[in-house]
Amino acid sequence: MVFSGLPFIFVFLPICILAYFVMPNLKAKNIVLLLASLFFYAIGEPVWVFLMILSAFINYAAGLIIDKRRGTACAKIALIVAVISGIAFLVAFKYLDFIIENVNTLLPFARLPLTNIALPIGISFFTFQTMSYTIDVYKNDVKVQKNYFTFLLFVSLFPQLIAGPILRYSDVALQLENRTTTVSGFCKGITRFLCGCGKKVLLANTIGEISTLIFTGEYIAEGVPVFGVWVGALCLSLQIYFDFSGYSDMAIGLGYMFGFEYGENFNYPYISRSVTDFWRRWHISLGTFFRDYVYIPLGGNRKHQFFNLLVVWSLTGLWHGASWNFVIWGLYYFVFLVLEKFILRRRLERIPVLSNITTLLVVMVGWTIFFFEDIGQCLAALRNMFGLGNVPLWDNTLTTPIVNNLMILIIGVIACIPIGRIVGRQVESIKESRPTVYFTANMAFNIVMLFLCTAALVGASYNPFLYFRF
Amino acid sequence: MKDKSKLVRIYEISIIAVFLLFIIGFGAYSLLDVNPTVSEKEQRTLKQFPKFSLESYFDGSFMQDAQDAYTDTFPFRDFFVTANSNVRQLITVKMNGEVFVGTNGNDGTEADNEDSPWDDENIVVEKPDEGYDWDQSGNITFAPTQTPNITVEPTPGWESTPGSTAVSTPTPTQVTTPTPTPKPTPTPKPTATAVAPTAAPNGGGTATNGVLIQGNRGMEVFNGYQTNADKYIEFINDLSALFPDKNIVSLTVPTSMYIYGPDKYTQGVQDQKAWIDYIAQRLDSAITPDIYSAMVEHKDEYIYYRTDHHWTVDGAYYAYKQAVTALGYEAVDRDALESNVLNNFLGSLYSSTNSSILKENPDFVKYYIPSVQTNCIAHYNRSDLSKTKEIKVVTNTSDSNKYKAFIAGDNPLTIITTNAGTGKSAIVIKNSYANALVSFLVHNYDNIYVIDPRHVNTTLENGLNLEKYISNKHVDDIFVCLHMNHVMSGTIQKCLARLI
Repeated sequence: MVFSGLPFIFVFLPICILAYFVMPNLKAKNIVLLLASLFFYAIGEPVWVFLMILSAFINYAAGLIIDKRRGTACAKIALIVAVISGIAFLVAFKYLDFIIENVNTLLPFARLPLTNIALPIGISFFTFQTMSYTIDVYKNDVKVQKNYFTFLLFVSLFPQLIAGPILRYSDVALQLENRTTTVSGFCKGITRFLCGCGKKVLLANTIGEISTLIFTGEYIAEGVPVFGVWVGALCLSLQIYFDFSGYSDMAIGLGYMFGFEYGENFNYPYISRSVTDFWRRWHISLGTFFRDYVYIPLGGNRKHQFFNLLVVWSLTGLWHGASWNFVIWGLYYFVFLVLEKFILRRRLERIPVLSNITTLLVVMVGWTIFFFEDIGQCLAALRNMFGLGNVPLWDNTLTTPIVNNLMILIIGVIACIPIGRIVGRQVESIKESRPTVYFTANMAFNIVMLFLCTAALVGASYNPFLYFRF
Repeated sequence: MKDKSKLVRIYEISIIAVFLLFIIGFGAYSLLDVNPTVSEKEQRTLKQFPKFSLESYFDGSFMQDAQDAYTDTFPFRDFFVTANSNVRQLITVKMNGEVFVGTNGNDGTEADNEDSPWDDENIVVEKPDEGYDWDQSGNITFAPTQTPNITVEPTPGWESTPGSTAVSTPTPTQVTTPTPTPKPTPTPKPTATAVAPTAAPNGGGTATNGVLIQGNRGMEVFNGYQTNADKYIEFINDLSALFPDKNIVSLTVPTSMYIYGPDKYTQGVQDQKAWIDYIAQRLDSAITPDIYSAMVEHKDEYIYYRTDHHWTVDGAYYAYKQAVTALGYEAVDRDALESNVLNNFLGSLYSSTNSSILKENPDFVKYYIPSVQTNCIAHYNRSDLSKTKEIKVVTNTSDSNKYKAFIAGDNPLTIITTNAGTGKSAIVIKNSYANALVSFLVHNYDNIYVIDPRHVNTTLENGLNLEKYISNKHVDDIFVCLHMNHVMSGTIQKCLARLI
């Protein structure tokens, strides 16, 4: 089930909210939230929900053992077992077929059968959450959780379960057992949720139609013209950003509604002045996870920094999917990050517009690599992008659809700039001085978003029987 | 100050109240309302709530289907769909009055699926007609309500018994007498060979499928693929080899995009004429009437619909004239025929785009009433070809798809007998483009067998083997009629290939 769908907004969410707020105390509210979360996950993964419960149990038990036998070999073993089991789950469910394919390709005599296991939704997110908990307990950074169900609630909490942000146990430990939903918080949560919903449904889905038009089907085989690839990459950049950050916004908004405060996951990444800056603003919870649990334990910038970066960025690439293009995408960023770290960044960041543009170009080429899981297609697209393919500069049939969508593209570009935030600050002061204006605007925004998103979601299911297309 | 914070509290509560009222109220209504089963606007059955089973639960399909069904049957569906497309149109920037709409419709690739809407068990393409009843489940059952004056005996195993489709001979009122002509010699092939069109110098590939709206005319985007063109050529040449003594007429009809569309959609691989020539020059002995020139010559007339992808009856007439003239027959005089007009036709290009411009400028469907007596039997059931119903060559249809005025739309097999008295028989292998054409062909043939390869299930025991069928029916002429988008469609080439 996705947040940006009619069943979630009009069935799951209202029932969940009603059941939650009817409950007299936090304990009962937590039970509602836990059941709702497990049900939410079971809708998408009726079988693998047990994998999540098991994964949570292993780390819960490991936490208990580590806490009890602190400083002994036993604690170390518990940590190792928990971490290895987490990685094993990831490998088994996410990477096994990828590994088998590569073994079969590399070794001519190998004929290993594929498992064809469909990736359990959100496994990359909940595995990282549980692992980070156990490691934090071992490092004595957080207090152990003695109640399994509370821990399971942390792991399965439905707002962030499927697409992050990746929660740290330390960030929500207190909130799990002591939190209240305020009227302001709930109100803020609604607006944030609708904002995210709009990003996903109105912007990402609409812009996605253009990138799909350019990057899929027969067209890619025929060869996309030079500027066609660039327009496609631009649309892709907007689509991925609104999709992902929209989902994070919805998660943060839902969190507010139930009294949780999640950290921000995006900070206007497309205004970055360097690739380093970009990765501090893009999917922040993932970047900090790799920093804290891979980069720094490996030695950070104190020893073999180059190697550490290589490992971190290979893993970052691989985390996004079991395919070589993701690894290449990760290494691509590694190259730019190293370049910046040792040579360019300080100089670059001083030049405002140029540094913004170069960073954006790097990011756009990056998303093109990210998009094509087929390496052949990926290379073809890159060749065309830089005018090395045997394609013209432009295809006139692309003009009409792009001009038609100009307005939505402009809205998209504007929404990437923190205009909202600049205006937002003033809006905050208006909230103090002229609450009527502020809340009227807020109310209007909510109603318009609710209406537009509902219409767009129903509209997306408009599927006329076109007898002629067959 | 205290007043202000009180005010803020009131506002916040009202924002929460509005949101909760909306989602709870609408949510409750959506669960309690009676779900529609069909969408008239989309001409399809809506997804229904699935039956629960442990198996469907654990493979995840139950929950997915339940969510799909919920979304599909959301209350005020048509209102929201229209609102959404109006909003989209509002923010659409027109380019020389052009709007490109990528179509999101069912492309029919599920045609081979037994659950496909093509199957008569849930034909939604077909709306209640005189002969149909809607039953409670929204399925259509055949119930003859009118008393046919002709008895129709469904004959199982009909394919092997030529002429056994029992029809009483209608009394002739008016007979056209075409002069019998010898088999015409096919037009000599030009020596220069047309090569498959490649990307135009100013255009790389082609931007996928969709509908272009220019002014108040919708046009289906055309894309050519050599592999499919070659499959078509192979099919026609196979027919020629199988039936060397019969006239094979290949009608590859250009679409309105090629006649009216902007240049950029008619160049390179989108150049329909280049493909028509490519095909014509590779056919061994088939007759290829020059429909393209006829269309261009009459492009100022109403020969294509603007809201539908078909040609009009007059467009079909010019093609008919070319075809029968090439065969050496006399074309019926259109002006001597009575005609009828059905107004307010919004066709497929409207439904796939939801365009308000098209909606405000509907088409009309004109048809000519044949001057010969006709008797028309449709074998309408894809899964059981022995089931028949009586239809008319042209009819004042009540269907919203008014193009169904012609031979009641697409049936797997339609058998027409006439009192034309020419002693000739023809077979028409076609898609819906030929439906309008048939209303003229009846003047030149005593028997016409119309086969829609998309709807013929060849895997059936009593399925249709084209070779046997044609031999049994002793036909003189074989027409193959498709518009260019289907000539280039892999799916339809598959359907053709499985016929022989």
